[in-house]
Amino acid sequence: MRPERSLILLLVLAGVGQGIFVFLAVADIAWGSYGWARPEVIYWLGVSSLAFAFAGMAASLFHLGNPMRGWKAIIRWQSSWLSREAVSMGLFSGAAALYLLLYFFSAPSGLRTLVGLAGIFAAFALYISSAMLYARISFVREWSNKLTAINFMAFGLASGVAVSYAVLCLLGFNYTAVREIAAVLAAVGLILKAASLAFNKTVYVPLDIKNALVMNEPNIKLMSTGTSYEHYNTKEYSSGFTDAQVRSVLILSLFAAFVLPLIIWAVMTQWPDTPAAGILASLAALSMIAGLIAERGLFFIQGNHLQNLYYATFRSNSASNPLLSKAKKGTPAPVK
Amino acid sequence: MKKEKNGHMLEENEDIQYTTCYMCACRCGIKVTLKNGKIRYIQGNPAHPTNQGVICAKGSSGIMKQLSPARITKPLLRKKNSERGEAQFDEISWDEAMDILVSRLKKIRETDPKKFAFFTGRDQMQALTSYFAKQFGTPNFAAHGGFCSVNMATGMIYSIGGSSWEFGGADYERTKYFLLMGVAEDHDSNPLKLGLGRMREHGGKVVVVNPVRSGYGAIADEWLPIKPGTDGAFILGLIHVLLKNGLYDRDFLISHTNAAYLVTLDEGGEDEGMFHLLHERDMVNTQNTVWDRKSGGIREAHLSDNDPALLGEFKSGEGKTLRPAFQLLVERVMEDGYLEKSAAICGIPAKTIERIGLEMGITARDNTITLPIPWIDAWGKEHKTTTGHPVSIHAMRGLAAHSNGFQTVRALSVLMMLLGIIDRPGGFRYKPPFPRPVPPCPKPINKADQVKPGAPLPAPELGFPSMPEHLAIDEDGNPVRIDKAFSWEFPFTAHGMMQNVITNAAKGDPYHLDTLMFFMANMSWNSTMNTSGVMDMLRQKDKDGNYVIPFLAVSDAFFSEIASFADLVLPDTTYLERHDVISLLDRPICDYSKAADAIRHPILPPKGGCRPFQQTIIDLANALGLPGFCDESGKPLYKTYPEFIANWMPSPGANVGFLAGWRGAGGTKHIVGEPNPAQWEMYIKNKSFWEIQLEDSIKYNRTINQGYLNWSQNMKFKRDNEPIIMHFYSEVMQRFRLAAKGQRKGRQPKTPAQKKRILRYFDPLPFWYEPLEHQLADGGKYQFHAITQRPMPHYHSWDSQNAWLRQIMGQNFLYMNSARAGEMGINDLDWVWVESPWKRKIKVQVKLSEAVQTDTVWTWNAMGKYPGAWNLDPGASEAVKGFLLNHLITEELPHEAGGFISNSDPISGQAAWFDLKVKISKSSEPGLYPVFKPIEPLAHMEKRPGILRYTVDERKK
Amino acid sequence: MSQLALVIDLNKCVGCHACATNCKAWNTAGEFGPLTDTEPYGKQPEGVWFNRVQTYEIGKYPKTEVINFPKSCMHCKNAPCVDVCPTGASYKREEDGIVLVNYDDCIGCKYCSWACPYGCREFDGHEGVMKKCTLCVDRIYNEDLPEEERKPACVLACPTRARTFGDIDDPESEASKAIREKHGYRLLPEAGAGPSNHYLPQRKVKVELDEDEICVKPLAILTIEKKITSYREQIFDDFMSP
Ligand SMILES: Nc1nc2c(c(=O)[nH]1)N[C@H]1C(S)=C(S)[C@@H](COP(=O)(O)OP(=O)(O)OC[C@H]3O[C@@H](n4cnc5c(=O)[nH]c(N)nc54)[C@H](O)[C@@H]3O)O[C@H]1N2
Ligand SMILES: Nc1nc2c(c(=O)[nH]1)N[C@H]1C(S)=C(S)[C@@H](COP(=O)(O)OP(=O)(O)OC[C@H]3O[C@@H](n4cnc5c(=O)[nH]c(N)nc54)[C@H](O)[C@@H]3O)O[C@H]1N2
Ligand code: SF4
Ligand code: SF4
Ligand code: SF4
Ligand code: SF4
Ligand code: SF4
Ligand SMILES: [Mo]
Repeated sequence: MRPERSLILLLVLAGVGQGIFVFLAVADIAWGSYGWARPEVIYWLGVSSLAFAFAGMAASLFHLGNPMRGWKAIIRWQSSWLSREAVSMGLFSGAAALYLLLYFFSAPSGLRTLVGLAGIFAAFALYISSAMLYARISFVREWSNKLTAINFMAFGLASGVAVSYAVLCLLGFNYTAVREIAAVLAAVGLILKAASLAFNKTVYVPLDIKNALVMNEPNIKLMSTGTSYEHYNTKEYSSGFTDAQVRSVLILSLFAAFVLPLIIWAVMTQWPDTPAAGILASLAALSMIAGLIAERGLFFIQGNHLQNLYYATFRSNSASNPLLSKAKKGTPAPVK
Repeated sequence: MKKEKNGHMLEENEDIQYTTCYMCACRCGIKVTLKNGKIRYIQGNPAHPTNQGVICAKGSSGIMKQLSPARITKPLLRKKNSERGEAQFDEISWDEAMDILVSRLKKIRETDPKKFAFFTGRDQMQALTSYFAKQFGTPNFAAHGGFCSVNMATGMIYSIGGSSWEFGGADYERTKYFLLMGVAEDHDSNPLKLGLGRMREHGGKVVVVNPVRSGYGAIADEWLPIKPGTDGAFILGLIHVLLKNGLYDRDFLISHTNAAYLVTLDEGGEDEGMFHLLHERDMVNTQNTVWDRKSGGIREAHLSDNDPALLGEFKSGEGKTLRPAFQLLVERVMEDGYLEKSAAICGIPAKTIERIGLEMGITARDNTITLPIPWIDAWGKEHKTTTGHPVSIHAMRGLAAHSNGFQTVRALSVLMMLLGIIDRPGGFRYKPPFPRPVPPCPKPINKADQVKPGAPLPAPELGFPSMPEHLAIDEDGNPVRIDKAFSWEFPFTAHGMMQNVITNAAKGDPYHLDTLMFFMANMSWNSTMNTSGVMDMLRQKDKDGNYVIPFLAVSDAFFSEIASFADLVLPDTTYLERHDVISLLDRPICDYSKAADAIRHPILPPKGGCRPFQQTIIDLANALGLPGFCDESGKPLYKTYPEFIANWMPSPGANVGFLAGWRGAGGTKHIVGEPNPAQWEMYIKNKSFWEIQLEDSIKYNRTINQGYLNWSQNMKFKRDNEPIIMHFYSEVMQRFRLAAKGQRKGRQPKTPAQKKRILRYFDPLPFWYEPLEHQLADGGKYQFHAITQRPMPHYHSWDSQNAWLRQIMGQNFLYMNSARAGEMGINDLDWVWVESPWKRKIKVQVKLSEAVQTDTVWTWNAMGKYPGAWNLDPGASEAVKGFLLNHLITEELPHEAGGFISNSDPISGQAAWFDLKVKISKSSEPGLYPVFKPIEPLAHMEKRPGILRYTVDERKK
Repeated sequence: MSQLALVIDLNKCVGCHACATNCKAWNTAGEFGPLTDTEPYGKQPEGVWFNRVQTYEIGKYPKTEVINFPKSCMHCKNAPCVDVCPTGASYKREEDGIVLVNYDDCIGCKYCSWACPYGCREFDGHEGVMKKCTLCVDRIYNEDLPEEERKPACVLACPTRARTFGDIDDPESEASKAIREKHGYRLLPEAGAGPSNHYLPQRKVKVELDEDEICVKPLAILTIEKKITSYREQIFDDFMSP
């Protein structure tokens, strides 16, 4: 699929925002009474959560052909994951904002907790609906699997905690525990990404142009797409990247999203009182965000849509997938 | 309030108009819905005989033609100091434009009318344009036929008095076996598509003979990948199979053809190879003879109690040796190993040829169709039923566009005669006014002194010679015409040889021209051979710095390549903006059992300052005071084109004219009748066409159908009601041979080369010979045949200005057989050099295909564009990737007598587009060759829009 | 219930693109238009088309088949494109099963196009809305048109008459009959969308020649062919006469 910038930004940035909020709310609820909930911490974490979420939402508007009508997206929440995404996005940002307001207007903590829990719920609803939006496209096998939702959550939380840690460090609170949580989440993220790459290796859709035309003949060759030029259906469903480019994106994404932050944090472990903690933690967080942007790009690039059968650009199995050229043929996993 | 019109309920701002499409020359009827004065929708006219409601990709895109920013809407004069081809023009007024042209033409007409040459392309108004040229007095007129498919026309017309092209076709309703040879799209586009669809419906077998399997081939039951230029050998192979197995229709041959006529074999005399006659040889009352098996003697042909022999050898009373023509064909094709020889030539295995021959023959034999339609033949014999065989063949340029095409098409005609599938149910059917005599009556001018200053020609420019006396040559045997049509080199040039005009005029061979005028022909680009060379010729100057072709006037509606070369551009209207006739005098819309014609009428106003070319012709004729257009005193008889059409008659009181419908006062008469001033309105009322249905009894066997012959005489389609006997054996050709042998009195060729050519190619029985270019090219070096196909969604060069059609196809590739390319290390989308033996080369992009014969490469025709032409972005793929094969094709071959001779069929003058042989080699560098310097858009043309959102409506909520 | 659909006969389709351009002509000027074209005379022209005709080659030379393959929205029974639409702009009509987009509600999120297994939706970038074949809903019920023309534009246009339109839920419709009698099939049934358009496969006609039908008697002709002195008995002249 074509890696759409606005969607990539939406998924990564909103994911960060959600992650920050989840971290903030959990920390506030669980540790608040331990003096953790200092106004500047709550404020900066809350604001960054909202900032990331809004940045993501703003980016997503660029994806829409008619952003002015964007609100209509909430109409069909009963059937459409995209609609649910919009609804949860609204709920999430509402809850997060309310949470902040409640804090600053010193509302009763029970109410705040309630809103915090609602925000956490909305954040997860948003992770899941964003993910399900893709996972439900059964014509893209690289998307339509359980790992999609798990990864969306894991990467969102990891990046949220990484950013939260950076914010804390910048505020002068270099909490080891938070760094450790971030590291664990990043490690989990790396493992999940590896798992999803491994899964993609096994993706094998036993369909080819024969099935597309329902003609059981060998050697079918596309001679004309019906136009001499590209059009929506040839552009939207292909990434336009070469195999080599894809491989470098893969390496970049893994390194920047997971490896580099882990290294930075490991260094920080060895250097507990560094005055550069803020800078280092920010570097780690930025690297992770950059890496996740690449990772999300890859998510699109690797998505191989069934309609490509008609344009002879469909890769029926991993063996012909340039990313995974050395893998062996997986078990057939027919499309539902 | 909605109002009803033709079954539609229309709003106030809506209208429905019927007219004739001209997105190609197929002449379909269209129904145009208009809203707010703009086109809402163009669809096929369901009532129309040609297309019966369907419409093609081009026809549907008429809206975009109207919208094209490449429209020229002002008369243009080449800027003083600019060079031809640079497209630097001054906008001038129509008055200035007409003054310039008229003063030139006046001078030419008063001195030497042949210095004005007028050649037209894919127009449908040759009756008018040729009449104009004739009245002007120049022999130098022709339309596109000579470079198009004249072999198809003449090969069949000189055999059966009719042809495919738009003049006839298969009885798709009944055919059970259909051979489609060398057709990619056809002139009869929609009828052929309708027919194929119908055939698929009732389950007949479709066999496609073509080096390439494309469009129509896709739905064929069998594809025979033939080597280009070898169909003659294949057809003669089929003939062999039919003869060997006795699968031919004896009765048909005897009644409809001259197969049983006795041919004199004795050598050396005036009658060698001519039919033996019972009475004196005179043109009106020749009595051909047959050997009557019943009486065992020679009798006049076609006596009802004859039982003519087809085989054998007989002696005449005077002791002459005679054999039936049929016997001569048998001798030719029944040699040992004939089939294997044919197979080796055409690349189709002998077994396959045999099977196809048997399939055709047996399908014909075992599925005879009998219709309960009684008819009377020309000799008065009554037939209770009408019979036929459900086998038919349709062929076009794949056969025609080779220098052996005439004889190939002759072979095809003979094959059809053998099967008895001509104008009978299930077979090939004529469209009125065909069948015509073999060959038809009109003869071209035949003497140099018939071209006189200030006088019309006494005879038409074009015609069908049947003896050397009909050739357009002077006393020394040199051509009268600039294109050398109707010369000893190209005797049966019924459509002229437009392909030679520029080259001959540039060389001054046979003479120089003063003014050359093109209408609707892109002669500096896709409709010429040797395109780069021809562009140079148009730019060529003499030592005084004057162009060797002094003045080039072009009528075009678009900023085409030829318009950019013009000295004077006359901007024409589009088909939706003008009056036109699709006349019985020209290329009418008749159906197998209908006589019909049609009109166009303006449903939109002319854009800008453009003016219908028809009107320009009338205005020119009036300004020149041409007889026929003006009275004796030179006073114009008709002001406007519609007026001319409604009133003109070939001679006073002839009562026929351009339009056949609603003649006579009140429009009650058809075909023959006095002019009717309300004729146009009556056409418009009848959805812009007219038709009459033939009665059942005169629909079939029309060459010898008394009822039909009488009808066609009454309708003035034919001068007499004599039966038309098909030329199984062509005595006409033998006449030329005898002249070449010096055995015939009258005109004889002068040079040994002329004699040799006639002797070799004017064989009265069909035969196959290697195309001329193949004879000359080194086959080891130039291993590939290079040919083109018509793309269905484009019409020649016209449609690159069409926003929709160019999206469908905006680049062509050179298609190569995958396996063959593999051997040469050539991959998909590689760039290759393609070189022809004539020191010309191009570099183009390759696409590998499984659907092309191994020795053949091909591309879509006319896709390549000159950068900037058609108001396309100079970087458009048509200009930077698309290419023309034409650069490689030579318009002239070395002549054995020294010098050069047109690369055309030695009989008909058909341009040999598909004889091209090429060498292919992989190029390490991508990129097109040759590339040309872009031209700038004309100042007055609309700017190219970045976004196009055509609509006539507000969207409903 | 009824389900309107197109039935396209690949045994007749010659790939002429008439269905594509006539569709564009009808739709661009009307209720569902305009169908935007960008850079129409430029380097990369691109436009919205509801119907496109692709070409495939099948097999290896010389046993090659060519298929022309028109494709437009299949008006799927389970229309996955409809379920995913967040705004309800995409909908499937109850009464006749036509899948439509209400342009005024479409936010241009393109999600529906991802959910279509066939690539049958086209995004109009200029207008920012998703477009697709309407099954000419503005023709087929249009009482301003003559009754015989209340058919999709592509069906009326098709010069080989390869396209049939009708209710595939009505076993008596022309469309259903064609599907039944000519082995109609649907694309990618595996995808589960339940497409309503059907294709009729190419069907090859063969002439089976029986040995008995091939009469070899006249071979004797070879003996008379070289030297002929006088009239001889005919051997096969009468063979074909009825
Ligand atoms: N859409 C569209 N329709 C058109 C036109 C157009 O430009 N576009 N042009 C019109 C005009 S002017 C004409 S003349 C007609 C021409 O109509 P066609 O005769 O159909 O013309 P071509 O496309 O030249 O097709 C020639 C076919 O012959 C094949 N061929 C080449 N050499 C040989 C050979 O030696 N043997 C055999 N058996 N086949 C061979 C080619 O592969 C090709 O398929 O079409 C008319 N109709
Ligand atoms: N390589 C190769 N070359 C070929 C062929 C081939 O098969 N292969 N085919 C040959 C054949 S058969 C033919 S018929 C020729 C066709 O060649 P042409 O007859 O030259 O056909 P077009 O390219 O259509 O050019 C016609 C010109 O008419 C102009 N025109 C269009 N509409 C109008 C109008 O309404 N009024 C006026 N005044 N002008 C108009 C166009 O702008 C264009 O400049 O090409 C020949 N060239
Ligand atoms: S075949 Fe030619 S005349 Fe007929 S609709 Fe198409 S473009 Fe028009
Ligand atoms: S109009 Fe008919 S024949 Fe032409 S491409 Fe479409 S379906 Fe095929
Ligand atoms: S692009 Fe329009 S029709 Fe498609 S899903 Fe989005 S809102 Fe619905
Ligand atoms: S073909 Fe695609 S767009 Fe049409 S109904 Fe089916 S899923 Fe929806
Ligand atoms: S049914 Fe109408 S909208 Fe759909 S492809 Fe045909 S013409 Fe186009
Ligand atoms: Mo032509």
